[in-house]
Amino acid sequence: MVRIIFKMVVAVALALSAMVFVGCNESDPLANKVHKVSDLGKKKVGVQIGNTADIYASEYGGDTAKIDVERYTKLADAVQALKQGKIDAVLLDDQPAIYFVKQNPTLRVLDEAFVEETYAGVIAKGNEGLLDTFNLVLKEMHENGIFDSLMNTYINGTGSYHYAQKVKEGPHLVLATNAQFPPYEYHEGEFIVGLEIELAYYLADKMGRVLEIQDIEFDAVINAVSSGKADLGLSGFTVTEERKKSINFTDKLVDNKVVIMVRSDIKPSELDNKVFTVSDLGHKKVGVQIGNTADIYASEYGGDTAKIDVERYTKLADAVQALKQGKIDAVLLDDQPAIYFVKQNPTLRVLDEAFVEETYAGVIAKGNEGLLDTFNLVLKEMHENGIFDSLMNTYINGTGSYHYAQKVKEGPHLVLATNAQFPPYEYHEGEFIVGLEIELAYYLADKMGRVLEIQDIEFDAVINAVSSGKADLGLSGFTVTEERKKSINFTDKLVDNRVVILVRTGEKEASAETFTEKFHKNFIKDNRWKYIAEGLRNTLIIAVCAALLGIVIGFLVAMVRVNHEFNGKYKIANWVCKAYLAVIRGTPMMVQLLIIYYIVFSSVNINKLLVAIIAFGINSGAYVSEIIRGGIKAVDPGQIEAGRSLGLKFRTVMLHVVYPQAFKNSLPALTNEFISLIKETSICGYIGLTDLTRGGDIIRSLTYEAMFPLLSVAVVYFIIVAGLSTCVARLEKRLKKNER
Amino acid sequence: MAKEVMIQVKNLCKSYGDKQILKNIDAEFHKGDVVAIIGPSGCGKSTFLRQLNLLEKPTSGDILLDGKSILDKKVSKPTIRARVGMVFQQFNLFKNMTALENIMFAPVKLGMMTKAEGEKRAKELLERVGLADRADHYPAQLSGGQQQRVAIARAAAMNPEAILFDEPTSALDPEMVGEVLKIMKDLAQSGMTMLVVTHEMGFAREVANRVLFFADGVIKEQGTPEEIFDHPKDQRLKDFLAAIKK
Repeated sequence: MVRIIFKMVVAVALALSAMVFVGCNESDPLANKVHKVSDLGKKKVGVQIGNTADIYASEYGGDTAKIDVERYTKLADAVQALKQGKIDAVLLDDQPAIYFVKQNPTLRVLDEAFVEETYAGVIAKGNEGLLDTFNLVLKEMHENGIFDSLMNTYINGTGSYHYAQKVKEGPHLVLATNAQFPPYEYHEGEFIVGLEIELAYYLADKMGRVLEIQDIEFDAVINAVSSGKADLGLSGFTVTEERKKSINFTDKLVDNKVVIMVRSDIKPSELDNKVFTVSDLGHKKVGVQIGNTADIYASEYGGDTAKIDVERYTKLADAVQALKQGKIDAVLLDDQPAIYFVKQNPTLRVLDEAFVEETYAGVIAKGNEGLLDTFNLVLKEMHENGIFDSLMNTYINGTGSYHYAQKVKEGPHLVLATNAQFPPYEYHEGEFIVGLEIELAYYLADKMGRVLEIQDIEFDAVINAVSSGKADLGLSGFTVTEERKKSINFTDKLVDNRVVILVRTGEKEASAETFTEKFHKNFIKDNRWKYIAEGLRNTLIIAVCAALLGIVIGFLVAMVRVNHEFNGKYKIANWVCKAYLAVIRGTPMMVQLLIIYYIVFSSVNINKLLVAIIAFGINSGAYVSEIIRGGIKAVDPGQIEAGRSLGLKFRTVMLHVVYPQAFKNSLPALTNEFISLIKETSICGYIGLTDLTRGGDIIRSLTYEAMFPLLSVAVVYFIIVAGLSTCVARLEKRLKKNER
Repeated sequence: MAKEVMIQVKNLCKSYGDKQILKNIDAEFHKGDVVAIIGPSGCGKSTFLRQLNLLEKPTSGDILLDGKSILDKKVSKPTIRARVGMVFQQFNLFKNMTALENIMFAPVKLGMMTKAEGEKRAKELLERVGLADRADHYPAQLSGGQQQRVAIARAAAMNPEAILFDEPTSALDPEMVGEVLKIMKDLAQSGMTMLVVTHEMGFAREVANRVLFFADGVIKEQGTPEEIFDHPKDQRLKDFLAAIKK
């Protein structure tokens, strides 16, 4: 009848997650069977020997619903048994429970507490001098704030204060404890740390003694103290009347709840959500969008001990896809897109706790202060005339349906760079790009008498586009940061934003869509097939023109080099050609494309198709020239000798005898080069061109469906390449007639 | 020998780096001469021949064609080459052209004939080498012997003043040697000036009016076929002929 408790003891259950949904299969040993305190009857429940939970558990339920108590020396053993399904719950104190749950995502603590109680230190009867000292020092610690600081460090997790012993020599103060009870006392590396340990250090310092810690079994601590082996016992002792008979308790240290730890209801498979709070993010795989501020915060999070394993995606939709498929554990993203994504994907949810709070603004190049002033004035006007609020209602609050359409149809352009994969600020709807920031830009363009031209490029390229002058203005949910301010001007604040954590709900996809539904969603709905069609058109234009340009460049370079090799002519031109080959073949195509777009043509407003054709043509030319040169060198030198012996000029021999043979020799390698050229154009999305691949990507970002868009894009590429291969095979056959 | 001197070689030397291939060669070739050049391999026969139409440049010395130096910088190399034809050991027919095109290509390209004339001439020459029915065949579709006959026709099509033969039958299967030698014999009988590097001693004895024996980069001995083959004086020549007979 240990009912006399200073505090109430609460029951908590920590649940281990089963392979199946909660309790849906009673025969499953890993299914959780304890959902509330009253479920504990007749269940196997683990406790630590000597802990008050042991006493409560033994008394619980009278004769009809007795708990089957399993006693463990170490709490960690009880937790292990729970995880393995050997027991149904563990009764333990709330702080250690929180610690264990953090380590084991398949466990959870029931909200309902089992008992509430109080912790205090123990000191032997007859040692009232130490008892008084302890209570005085404790009072002093409460007054000077050291106790609260330690509470913040160990219990609330909001501080990092630590107290270290200052007295290094002298008589010892012996502390008996059981250092398996985080956060009060536990091992960290080689040391024993914890709230009660540091409290003891402070006490020892005040007494001019050196603290000596004796780490013994929990049920031996009181004995050690009462027998005089130790001066003081601190081991998360609950104050009970029973114990008071044999030992003196110090004043109250902290309140405690005995809670019930059970297996959680979610599947421990890879589909499990492992992130429940911000503090769970350490060591987890977390997706972010490249260039988004979440990337910066995530990379900085957790210091060295709890680093986030950051996975960077170019597209938010890809990160969401990866989360759905269980490849990552959470996505850090801005709150509005998160809400939109959750709406589209019922198996995802946003954690209530925000990761960071910040502000969005537009970006305008340094030196373009005129546009900056105009923007801010127009924004102010939009706030005053209510248009901004109307747009907010439409896109953010979902309470309105106001839209602003551009009125100016002709005239100079105002170029907006954005990444239209960021609902509700900017995203694709049907064939159009819409969103709060887009309509804001329309309004601005009208005020300036200009036609808005939207360039949809990768997010991490937007600021570059603006600062290099490719675009006048960037609106893409940009968070204002000090770092960015150095390279770009921010407009006045547009909206507030929170970086939130998107995780899986753990539910299964409601119902699988049929093949036809998926096909309809990906291609028919809103004429989405047009993205593929437009992409195909651009891919073909780029590939064909770049191939022609590549042949011209390649032929000229090969001529220079071959002439140099045979006659020693064109020394300088040959050197230039060799440098060209080294640079082009020594750097990735993608980097070349970006350099040509952002550096070479930075201040020229040039059609992007042309940029792509030039970039790919220059790249292909290098490979073509080496292929042609190889083909020429493979021609028997006797052919040239014979031609010259007939009195023909070198050029005539090359043109009529060598090149035709070299072309035939090179044809298979040239075909390969054109095939890879066609496929390489798939990186055009990086400069915002809708090529075939990006066409598929846009559909993917709209439907969150990977299979159809990707497979159809693959099939189209395959058909193009197969067609080209067939044509070349025919040509080769025709050229073969002069062979036996 | 009242024939006029056509090619005169004076003190000709040729070195590749430190290695001297030809040492102070002096020789004269007359119009209508059929000269067989024999000797052990690596003795400089082919190198000698290739200097004569400037496929290689002499290190020193001079070559006169009709009394004028062909090494003069003012003289156009293609013109000299057009006047002195060449037939190669490996035939070197243009692989991307038919037999007919191979023959007519150079004369037409150099403006010596119209396309129609070139075609007519090429057909005549193919007739002469017995390959009229192979006009539209590509080199890869012809046997080695047939290819060499086309190559001879190609050289002849330029109406050269002389034709140089660089081991014309060495790359042929034995059964094809005869057909090529026959064509060369016909050509010799028509009065063409010919310099032939060869290992075919029968041909040299029967067709040539003069034989040069090359060894160690010099002309060791020269004379009529009878003098060379029946009464050799030089010991190297005697050894060479004895080695061939085995």
